[in-house]
Amino acid sequence: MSDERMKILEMIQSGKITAPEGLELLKALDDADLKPGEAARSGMRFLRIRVSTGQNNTKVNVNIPLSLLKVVTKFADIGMKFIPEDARREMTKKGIDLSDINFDELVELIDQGLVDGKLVDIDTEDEYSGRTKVEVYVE
Amino acid sequence: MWNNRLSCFILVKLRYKWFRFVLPVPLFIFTELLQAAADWVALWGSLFPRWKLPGLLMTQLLSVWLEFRRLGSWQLAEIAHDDHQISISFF
Repeated sequence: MSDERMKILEMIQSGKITAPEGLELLKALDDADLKPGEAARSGMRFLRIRVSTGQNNTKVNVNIPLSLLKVVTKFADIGMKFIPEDARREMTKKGIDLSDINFDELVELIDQGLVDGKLVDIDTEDEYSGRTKVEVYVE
Repeated sequence: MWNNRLSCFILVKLRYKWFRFVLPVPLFIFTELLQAAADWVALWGSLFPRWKLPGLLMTQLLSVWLEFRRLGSWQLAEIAHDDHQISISFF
């Protein structure tokens, strides 16, 4: 039990305040305790990935908190090693060098709000798979 | 354990046609296990240099795990295909 709560209970016990007054104070303390959590929650930003295809009505909905992304970027270099060599070669041919990507900086920019809104918005339609929509955004 | 505003469970929800299943995986058990494993690996790392890299990986894995728990309740993923659905959320 926190010191504040104990003090309120002692004040009730010693008769300095009445029980209803003490109850009000305890409620106020509860609200104060909740506020930082709520603020953190409301301030929590997510990288949201939404994929939907018309065929079979497939929907994928992935939410990755940015704070988690910051921790996970430390694994990015290790993850890069798992990309098959032929895929890596193909990307190098097209001028894509994954080792040049600074994931820490990218996440930092997103976190600062410099990269906001929709990062990816693809909407295609063909006769086989129907309409496919891919959205990646920060919210 | 229950009132510290940390996620306590991963809820894996499955729906396959008429069949529905919810699997709650307790997170706090794995936190203790990971912590114990990380301590052991760190100890071996101090004795044998070869164990230093696994030690670093364990520390990073533990930090990701703790971040997962600190976030409270949120949904990581939901995949639906026809009548089938799987969702992974933290609670």
